[in-house]
Amino acid sequence: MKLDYQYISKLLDSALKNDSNAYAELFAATYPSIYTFSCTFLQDEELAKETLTKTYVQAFSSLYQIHDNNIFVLWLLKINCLICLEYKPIEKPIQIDNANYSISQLINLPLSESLSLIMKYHSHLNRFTIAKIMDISVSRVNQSIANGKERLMSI
Amino acid sequence: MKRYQLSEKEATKILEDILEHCELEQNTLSLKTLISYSDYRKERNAFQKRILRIIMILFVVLPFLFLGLTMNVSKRESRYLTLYDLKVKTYFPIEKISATIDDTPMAIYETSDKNYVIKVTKNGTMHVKVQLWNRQYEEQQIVIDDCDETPPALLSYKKEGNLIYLYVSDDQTGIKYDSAYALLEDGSKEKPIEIQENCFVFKQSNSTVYILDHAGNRLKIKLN
Repeated sequence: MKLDYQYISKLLDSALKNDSNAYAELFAATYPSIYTFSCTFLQDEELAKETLTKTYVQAFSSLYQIHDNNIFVLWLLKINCLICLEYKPIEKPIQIDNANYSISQLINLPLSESLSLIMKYHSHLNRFTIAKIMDISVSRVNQSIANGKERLMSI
Repeated sequence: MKRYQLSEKEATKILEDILEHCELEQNTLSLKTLISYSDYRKERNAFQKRILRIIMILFVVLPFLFLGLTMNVSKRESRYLTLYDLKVKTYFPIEKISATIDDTPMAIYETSDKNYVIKVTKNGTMHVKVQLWNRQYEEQQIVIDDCDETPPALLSYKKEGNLIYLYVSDDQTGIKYDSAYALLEDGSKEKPIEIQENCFVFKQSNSTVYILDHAGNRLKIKLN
């Protein structure tokens, strides 16, 4: 999708002034990514719709918490991921390169590393899809995965 | 991967629920309108911008595509050869140069930047064509009638003992005296025993004598 983050910043400023059109535009800009993430994570479209509503309600209620507007999509994905886990907890460990890690270990990684690894090793998405969902480049996805693995190994 | 997509109706309903939960007013611009504007996308108007850029470049480049050249073909003074100087004036690189007489290509040598020499080897109408990389070209036709195409002529000969005297002449470029030789049956070459003005003295043998003029035309005489 490649969002224009300068424009997103303006929308966030307007949203904080209770401009409902700005909220609507933020939703329009991001919901396809969040919905795809939910669906691939939960494998249930109806449940994904529910998590989508919950995600935006939670996000819009705490917009003031964002300090870096450039990670708006990642921030939404993280909220959505946590909500998805409430709906469908992951008991089994996630296998990454012959090692097993718990979902909480992955969740506690930095934002892009955490999401990249979850999408890659839990939802089994390819790097192009991950890049599209996260609105970042494929090389940044690769970097995030590599960094995330390194960090996990050092734990 | 399966493509997950919310219908417009579903998305609108979800947005309504979200705004209601957040105790916000409903949006006045419909979701459909906001999606169609897609102001939040980086690549908005990217296609139009690209087209505009191409048009601008074309406007700048277009005049250059029609810039031509000037060429000047003039005869060069040469004692033996028929040579023509070709001077091309252009700011563009030259793609192709050709000089032909009755479809026979003439040799062209570059002497300096955009200056050439054409070596003419036959009479007729010479077509000189210079083409630039932008496909612009210039043509010129020159009638050539002073090219030496005739080999030296054998005027007479005489035998004296073991020697044979060959009297030859060439009215145009003249005889190239050091070029004369006799080709013997065994394939070896033999130079004349003596060279006088217009006269070559060879040993009497079964051989073929070759005498050239300065234009490269060759006289062939069989001795036996």
